[in-house]
Amino acid sequence: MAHKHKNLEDDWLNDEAAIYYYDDTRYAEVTFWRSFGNNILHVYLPTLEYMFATKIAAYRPKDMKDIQSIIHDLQIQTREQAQAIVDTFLLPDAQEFYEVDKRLRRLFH
Amino acid sequence: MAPLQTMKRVYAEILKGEEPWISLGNFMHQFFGSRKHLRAELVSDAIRVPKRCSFEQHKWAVFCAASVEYLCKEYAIPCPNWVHGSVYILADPWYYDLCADLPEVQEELRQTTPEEFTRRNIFCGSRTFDNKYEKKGRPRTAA
Repeated sequence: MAHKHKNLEDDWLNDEAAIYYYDDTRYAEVTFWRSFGNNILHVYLPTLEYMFATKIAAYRPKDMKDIQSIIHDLQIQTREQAQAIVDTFLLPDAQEFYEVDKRLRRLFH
Repeated sequence: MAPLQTMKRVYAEILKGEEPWISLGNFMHQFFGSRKHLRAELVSDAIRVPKRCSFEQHKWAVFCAASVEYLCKEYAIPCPNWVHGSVYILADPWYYDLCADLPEVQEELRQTTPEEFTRRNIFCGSRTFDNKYEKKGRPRTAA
C-alpha cells in the first residue's frame, strides 16, 4: 500500500518511539483498528489509558494539551485515579526515572 | 517528497492558526529524521513577524528564535543572525509547563531551561526537544 504514495518519506512509519514502550511499559494496550493491502499492514490503536501513562512519562511541552485532553476524556478526578492508570502500564523504575510521582502531585494539587 | 518544513514555514503556519506543536512537530520530524542532512537549511531563513501581531503570536515568534539558536548549538550548525534580533525577547517571563502557576514548577523551570530560552524570558524546561531518534533507552538498574 505504501508504495502507492510516491511522496512518502523513507521513515514514513513512525516506529522510532517503539523503544520507549519496550523499555518502560509492562505491555502495550492496543486494539485492532483495520488492515490495509490485503492484510499486509495491520494497524492497532492505543487505548486512552495507555496513552495517558506514556504521555505522563514523556511530559514535554508538546504533550501538555494531550495530557489535559486525556484527563478530561477519562474523567480522571484524583491523583489516585491517575496513579492507578500509570501503575497498570509503567514499570516502577520507569516511574522513578520519569519522576511520575512529582508530576502527578503537581497535576492534582 | 514533502516540502522542507523550515522554521520560517513553521511560524507562517502558526500565524495562519495552526496548532504550534503540529507545525513544530513536523519540523522536528525533518530536523531529527528525514532531513537531518539539511538542518542548516531548515533554520537559516528568518521568520516573518508581522508588525502588528498578537501577544500569542509574538510569544511563538520568540519561541521559534530560541529554538533555532538552541538547536544550532546542540547540533553544531551555523546559527543564523536573525535569531538575535531584539524583537525576539519577551517582556515578561513565560513559564511554559503544566501547573506553571506553582512556585516550585517555576523554580524548576528556571533551573532546567537552556540559556537560549531563558535569555529570552522563556522557561520551558529541558525536555522540549527530546529527540526520539537518538534515544538509547532508559538506563537499566538490573542486569
